[in-house]
Order: sequence, then structure tokens, then C-alpha cells
Amino acid sequence: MSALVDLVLGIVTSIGGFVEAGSISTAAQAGSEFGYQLLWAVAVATLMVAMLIEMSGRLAAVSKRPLAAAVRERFGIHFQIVPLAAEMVIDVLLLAAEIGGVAIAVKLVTGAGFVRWILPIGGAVWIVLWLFGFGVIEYGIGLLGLVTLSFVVSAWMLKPDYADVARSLVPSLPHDDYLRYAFLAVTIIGATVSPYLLNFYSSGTVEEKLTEDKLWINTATAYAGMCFGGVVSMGVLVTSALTLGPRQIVVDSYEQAALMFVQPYGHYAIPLFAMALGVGCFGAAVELSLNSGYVAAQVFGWSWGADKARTEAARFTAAFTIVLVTALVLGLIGFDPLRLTLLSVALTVVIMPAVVLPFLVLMNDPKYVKQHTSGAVGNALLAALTILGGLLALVVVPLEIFGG
Amino acid sequence: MRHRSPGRPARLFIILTLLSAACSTTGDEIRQHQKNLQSLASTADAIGRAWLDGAVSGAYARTALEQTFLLVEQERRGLTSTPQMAADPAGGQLADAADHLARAVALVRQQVAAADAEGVRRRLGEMPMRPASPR
Repeated sequence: MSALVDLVLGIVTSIGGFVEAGSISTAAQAGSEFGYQLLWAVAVATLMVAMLIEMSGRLAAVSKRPLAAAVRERFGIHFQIVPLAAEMVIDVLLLAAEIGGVAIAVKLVTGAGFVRWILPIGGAVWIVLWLFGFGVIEYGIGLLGLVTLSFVVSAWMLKPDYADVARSLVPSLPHDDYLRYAFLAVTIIGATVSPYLLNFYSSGTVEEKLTEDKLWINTATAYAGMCFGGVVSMGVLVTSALTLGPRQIVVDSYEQAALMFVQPYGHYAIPLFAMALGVGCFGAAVELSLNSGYVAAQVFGWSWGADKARTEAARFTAAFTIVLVTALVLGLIGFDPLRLTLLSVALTVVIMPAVVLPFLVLMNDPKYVKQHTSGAVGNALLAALTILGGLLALVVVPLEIFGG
Repeated sequence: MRHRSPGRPARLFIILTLLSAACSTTGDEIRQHQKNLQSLASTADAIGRAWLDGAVSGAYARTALEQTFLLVEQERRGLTSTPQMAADPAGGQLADAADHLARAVALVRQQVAAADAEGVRRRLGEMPMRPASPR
């Protein structure tokens, strides 16, 4: 019975925690500019993240080591320092973007400038991290995040042509604007398959003391949770395609994105969109901060754990506090949160091979996963998609950013 | 029978992407600015109409119109950011249209702040660069 409760809670919180600044902004842009045509990118990214999440949980449950600690042990600190630094930089950028997303959500409702909300929101994130253990953070945020199901409901209320939706799951070339199309495909993948998720999930598996005999819970949670989460992202894309696309509104700000709820929800549109954006971004901000503490502590061999008294894991606490403060400084400078989000998620795809490929090596090393090594098809698929995504990102990200 | 390489669509896509970036001209950039400005005009129209229908609050409408104004200004600056763009007659015309649009958005924002529904309705009817109608 307890295993079943764990499973249901795991799936529900995965759905609630799936959508945040990156997935909302990239799916809204894709829908407004290319209709349903980029749904395949959401599907591919969802499959990739489900496979990677399942593997990171399996690694942690069998080896009793989280991903960052296992990579450090297997490859050494000299190998890990570059991807680690890159991941930390992207985590800070993403964290600033998520805090900016919460601030924009407050601005949508109150009308007051978003920069003034940055510090109070940062303070709230830190208080949550200081006061609560892993279970409250994971389940509390995941359950609140179920408000993002409003994107699925809105897509359903708008009565899309389901045959068109299904056809868009097969990749196709756009009529024009290939560069923009490729850039959005890259950002959708980057927004979904964040390295922080892998570290966070594997650390969570260790915190929850999942054992080898309960690997089925990990598999079911990863695949069912991520697939339902992917449906929420598709809901954003379909809603945007049906409401903003026909008006030729290209999403360049969250204020524009919020308009996608006016047709399905009327008076409730802006508060509901703000709640979905705010809760999704706040949850991601807490997870990103906590993850930075996890990674730093695991790589340098410090005591770590959200369930430990903060004084028992002082350097872990200091690490997530420093990352949070750095992100707040970045947010206070006043970067446009939506552009910062797009930049961070695009860069995520560039560094993805450096994170995923060593991980695949670990997943085929019986010293870490015993008999639970990954299959050849999964290995090949993930390696190919990661390398292809990284190469495509290397080409399109500079062209899109520097080419205006 | 010769099999089609599975990597062929991916290669074709990358080649088209690189070509489209390499062949980008001043004309393409101006078309892009025009598309963005039309999107912003349509945004202002959607915000104004949602406010008139009572679907969105004055607080949201004001901040969203302010953000729209800033984005229009950004596009307008972009249209005169290089000598080639500034010297292009089509670019000049579009910069003038962007100037009109910025003023129109600012006026709609002012009328929303003053709760002047009739004024907002009139301004929306005269909004420049708005796409003809929903597809």
C-alpha cells in the first residue's frame, strides 16, 4: 500500500513539477509561430527526459550514490570540473530566469514593476529551503504545481483538431524561417531535458532511500510522470497555437503569453495564468537552488541533505545560499526573464553531451548498477539525440542570438 | 532497392538552416521587423479588446501595454541600427509606421488608465499595422 502511495505521489508531483518558465515560454513561442508543427520536439524531449530520469533514479537506488558523486568517483575531479562549472553557470541563469518568472506572475496580477519582487521572492525561496525537508519540498511544490493542468484544460476547451495534433508528432520541415524553427526545437529540448533535473532526481532518490527491490516505482514514476508532464507542455503549445497564432501574435513577453488564456477562461484568464506561471517557476527556483547545494556538496565530498539540520550540513547550505544570491543579483540587474530563459535553455543543449555521455558510461558499468545496466537501444538513442541536439545547438544558437 | 538514408532529412534541415542564415539580407531583416511590429499591433489590439470586454483588469492591461510599447520601441531602434537599414526606403517607412504604432499604444495605455472605454475603442479602430483579421 505504501509503495502504491509513493508511486501515485511520485507521478502526481512529477506532473506538477514539469512545467516552469522554460517549458511555458518555449512552447508558447513555438505554438504562436509554427502552430502544432513543433509538437514532435516536445514529444522527443519528453521521451529523452523520461529515459534519463529513470536512469538517474536507477543509478542512485542501486549504487546508493547520486549522479554527481558517481561521476566524480568514476572519472575524477579533473574530468568533472568543466561540465560542473558549465552546469553551475546555467543553473544560475535558469534560477534568475525562474525568479524573474515568479516576479512577472506577481506583476501580471498587481501591475507593479517586476524588479521590486525579486528580493522578496528570493527570500521566500531561501526560507522554504531553510525550513523544510525533502518530502515537503518535493510533494508540496508538485501538488501546488497541478494548477499547470489548466494548460491541458484550456487546450481541450479550444477543441483542437486531434488528427492535426497527432500528425504533428512526426517531424516536418516548416515552409520558411528554418533557423527560427531549429532554434525553437533546440530550446524546447533544453527546457525539458535540464541537467539539474538529473542531479536533483538522483539526489532525491538517495534522500528517499529507494532500494533496489523497488526499482519498478522509479521506472513507473519516471515514465508516467514525465509523459503526463509532457502532455501539459503540449497543452501550452496547442493553446498558444489556437489563440495567439490566428492573431499573428508572436510571443516576445509573458504579458503576451498570458493572452492565450483569455479565450478559454475569460475573467479568470490572467489570475490563472499568473498562478500557473508563478507556482511553476517558484517550484523550479526551489529545486534549482537545492540542486546547486547537492551538486557542490557531492562533488567536494561535503555533508549534504535537505532532511539534515542545516547546521549539520553547513557547506551544503552555504552553497545553495551563494547560488541563490548570485541569481538574485542577476535578476536585480533587470534582465528580461523570457530572453534569459531562452538563452539558458539553448545553452543547456550545448552542454548536454558533456553531462549525458559520462552518465551513459556509468549506466553501463556493473560496478555502479550491477545487473541493471541500460539496453543497447536506449544507449544508442540517447547518445544520438544528445549529440545531434548539441551539434544543432552549436549551429543555431549563435546564429539566432548574434544574427538578431 | 536503394534505401533512403535516415540522416538525410536531418542533413537537409541543417543545410537549409545554414543557407537561410547565410542568405539573410537587409530586406529579410526588414520583413522580420515588419512581422514583429504586426504582432505587437495585434497584441495591443487583443489587450485593449480584452479590457473592453472586462476579461482582464486595468492593472494587467496597463502593464501589458507598457511592455508592448517597450517592444515596439526596440523594433523601431532596430530599424535604424545599421546604415544599410536606415538608408533603405522600406526600412524608413517601417520606422515611421513603428513610430505611429508606439504613439498609438501609449495613447491606448493612457486611456485604459483613465478608464476611458470609448477612447480605447476609437484608438483600437485606428491602430496602425494591425494584421487584417484572424486567419
